[in-house]
Amino acid sequence: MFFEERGALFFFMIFVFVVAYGISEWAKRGKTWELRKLAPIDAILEGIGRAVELGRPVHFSAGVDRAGPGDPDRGHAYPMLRYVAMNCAERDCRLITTVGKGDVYAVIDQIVKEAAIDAGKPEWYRPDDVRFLGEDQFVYAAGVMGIISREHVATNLMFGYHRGALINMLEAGRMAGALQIGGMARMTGELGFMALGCDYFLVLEELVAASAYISGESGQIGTVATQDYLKFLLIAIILIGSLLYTVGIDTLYKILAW
Amino acid sequence: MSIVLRRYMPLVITAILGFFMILSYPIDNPAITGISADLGKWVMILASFGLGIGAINMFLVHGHAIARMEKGRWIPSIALLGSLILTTVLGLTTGIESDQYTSLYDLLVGAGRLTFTSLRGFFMFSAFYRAFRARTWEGGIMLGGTLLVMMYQVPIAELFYPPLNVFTKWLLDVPFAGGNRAITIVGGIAMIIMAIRMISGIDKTWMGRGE
Repeated sequence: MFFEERGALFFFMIFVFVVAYGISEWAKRGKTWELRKLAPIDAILEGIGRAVELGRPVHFSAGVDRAGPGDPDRGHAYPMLRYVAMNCAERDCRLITTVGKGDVYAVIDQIVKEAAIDAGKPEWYRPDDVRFLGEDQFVYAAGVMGIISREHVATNLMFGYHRGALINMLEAGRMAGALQIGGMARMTGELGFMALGCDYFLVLEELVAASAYISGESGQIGTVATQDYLKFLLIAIILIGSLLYTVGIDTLYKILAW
Repeated sequence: MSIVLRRYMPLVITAILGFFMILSYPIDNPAITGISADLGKWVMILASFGLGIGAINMFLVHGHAIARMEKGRWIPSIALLGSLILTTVLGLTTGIESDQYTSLYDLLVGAGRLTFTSLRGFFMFSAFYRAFRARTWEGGIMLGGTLLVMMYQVPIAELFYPPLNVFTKWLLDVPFAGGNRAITIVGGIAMIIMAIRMISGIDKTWMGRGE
């Protein structure tokens, strides 16, 4: 068959795309939604301020996964890095960015460089402070732990996907007395490490909202609203579907399984 | 490169390729799945070129540090380039399956990984100790839940008070599983939205800029 039991998914994806794009355009034409305040985002600014006061650097890790279809975390980490880099550049705070995969190094370097230019301080950008530490998660973690302890990092920001060695890096940050803020978009065991080791952390959909929140762009805020509308729609489908199936009507089930 | 090309070409390429990759999942058609498989091969080819460029870049950066005997950098740079040359020569001359090559990896990287994994045990213990102190009622619930699951898994509860296991199993099968599925669904929606944002150009940060 053409769809192999994924026909409903195909049309759902088209529906989501049309709705997301439509709402985003609606937002660009003036429709506004209020985003609730996200404590971790405010804490990032506090963390940068703390680093400036202490005269110590901020460390940003954009994760250890490759750029690719299997990595949703990169999409969240990039806007966050841009936000952090711009704020650090404005306040003349040193930012050390570490990279765990070679194929994303150029993108991350470019984000930091352009953030410095956009903040009006191109001289703030230092190529030496965007560091590729190694492809292996343990090699990367050893490098990060070394940087955190040698450079006396004041604020440790861990966004993007991290593997089991995450707890080692977070404990190194704790020993250095750093304020730790993190976020992960995947439901994995490492999410628990993030919750254990970070002072503040963003989880799953909060990251999507956070990147829209910091960008302040109406189009992106529109996609956050789309997310909420879709949640209501799915809750309705689940409730109606459960009810219908309980009374013996399996039409909705058959449609979804088509 | 003109500003139009520089600004819009990555967006157009991402949009077209992104759509093909997404479509290959629900549509089981050789034309589309074939393109998606080819794109996967392109990634490998590009990554191989990236590896070559990376090696050249390493020689330039670290060679420069060695030549200038930069303080705190030149000795680690010698170790790094030495390891790179040794591994490459061994791999090319004896093959990546040879004892010499695999021993080099196992003795250096393997031992380091094991050390790191062992260290993680201590770090996890100290992190758990801090997190599971019942200072607040949320912390208390977390501590209680953790103890129940631990007693269920070990399984000590089976020995001392079997009905506790029935309750823990219900906790795992009903509220925990329900919560887990809800988070997974919401996370899935978030991923779809993020993909749409990047493919449609609503979010351009991945190209190094905001607007």
